Amino acid sequence: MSTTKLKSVDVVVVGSGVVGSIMSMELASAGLSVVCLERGKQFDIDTDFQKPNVYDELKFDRHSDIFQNLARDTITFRNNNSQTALPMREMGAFKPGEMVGGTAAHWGGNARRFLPHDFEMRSRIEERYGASFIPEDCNLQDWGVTWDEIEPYYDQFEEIFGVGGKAGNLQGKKIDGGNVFEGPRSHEYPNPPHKKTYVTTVFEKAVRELGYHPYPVPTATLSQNYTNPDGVSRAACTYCGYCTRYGCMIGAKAQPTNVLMPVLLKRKNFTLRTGCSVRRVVHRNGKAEGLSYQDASGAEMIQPASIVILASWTLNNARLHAFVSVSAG
Amino acid sequence: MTLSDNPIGASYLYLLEPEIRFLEAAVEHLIPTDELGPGARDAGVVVYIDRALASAWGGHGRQYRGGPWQEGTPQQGYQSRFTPQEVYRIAIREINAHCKVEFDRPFAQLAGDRQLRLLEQLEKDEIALPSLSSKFFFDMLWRNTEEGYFADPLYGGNRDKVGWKLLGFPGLPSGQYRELVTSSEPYHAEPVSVLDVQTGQVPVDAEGFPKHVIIKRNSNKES
Repeated sequence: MSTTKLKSVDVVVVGSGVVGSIMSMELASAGLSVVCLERGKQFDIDTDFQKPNVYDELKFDRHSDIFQNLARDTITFRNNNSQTALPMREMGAFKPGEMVGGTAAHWGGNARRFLPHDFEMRSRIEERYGASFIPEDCNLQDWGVTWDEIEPYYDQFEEIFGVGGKAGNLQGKKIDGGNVFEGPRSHEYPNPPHKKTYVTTVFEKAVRELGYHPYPVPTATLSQNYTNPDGVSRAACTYCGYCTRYGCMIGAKAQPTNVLMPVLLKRKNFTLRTGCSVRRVVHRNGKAEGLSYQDASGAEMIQPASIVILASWTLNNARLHAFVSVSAG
Repeated sequence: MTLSDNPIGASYLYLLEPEIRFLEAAVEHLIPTDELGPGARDAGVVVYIDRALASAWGGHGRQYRGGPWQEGTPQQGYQSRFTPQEVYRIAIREINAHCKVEFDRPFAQLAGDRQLRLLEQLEKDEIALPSLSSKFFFDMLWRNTEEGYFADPLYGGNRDKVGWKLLGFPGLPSGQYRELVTSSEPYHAEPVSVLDVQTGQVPVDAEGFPKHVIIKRNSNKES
């Protein structure tokens, strides 16, 4: 079968989920030409997530076409080395996404930050328990970035997505009612926490009396009407209760399709191609030079690029890396 | 020969007459009609199963259907080569054949206590069917019975929202939840389904939320 080699661009990104959209946004804003390849379809709130059908629990909990179509492609898995890995034939609790916006279309909006020590897990454990504490064959590592380095970007993310919550550590000052164990934040959340249900207030009182420090979970579902720094406005949550596994019918829940894509799709140096399944990283002399993929019509394409970004989530990224290793011999 | 009672006057897209008879008898044991309300049969669960089998799910339209084929662990989920359509067709035929050998008549014509005993044996995998595990079929039947009893009436089951009334589930959310979310008062409303809104049985407000009719419950606490 013939392969069409396209005109080279600055950046090609695999996946249009949270990571792919953010990378596309940052690089397109810096003036680079960006092509984003998404295996799923374009969805929009006004049709796909319209009332009343969006409240169909059978559809969205079990059968929805916003999840990966396993008839085309799936993963195999096993729980330990003594078992044989078998294909995931039917969607269970693990629901990979397959649409513009990726899995973040049906996430719950739970928008926590890592704790400072999460970034330096190996160092912190060695510091506390000694270097011999971690077994030799354990591949635990530090992330390579620290809390202080990443904090401004958490801040930026919360501004763009409109996260609501209550700070528990503002520039080192502990604040009762927030998460007092979190790392020092440079700013308060851009939005307040959600209203507390009656059950929440009962639970909060009970655990506070036991000496714990309850705090509202930060969420990227809006607690009030909000316009983000990119000028994208979204409406406040209606407390309908259909978040995880559902698309938000009013767009209160932040997802790439309602925070980043509205801005990105207006940029002339950004191109989104849907229905494109990336097969291989094209590389030479140890350097990635582009992506080979099958487009929506089934045609084989190559998109050359100076920068190749794998943003198709852990399993797919690892698979694309493995193909590189195999083909490099 | 008379057709099955067809209590809700439905059309059937996939299931055949002996299968409808089998399922009407079987699901009524799984969720029986009792003092709490109508059971699975009267709730239209067999119609639900028929629609499910005729849908993309019944032919595994969105499931992976290639090899390797091997019996997996429970955690590895569905590993059968049969689609749900095939599972129902094969299992019902083979269970009826078993019943004819043992009791000289098909499942649907057996006495109720005999049917219940057979279902218990299927659940425990105690009946050896030629083509598939009897527990595998039972588990699928139970899963679909639950779905048919509790899924939106849109799919032919949960007729008159009997499943939701049993649970006290209000169905589609109301636009008032914003104000009510902090309330300590229990919330009792007539359930509203997708089907109700599609067919105009329940009006919606400007935002598209259905108007909930609150059920007044007399509290006997004070008396």
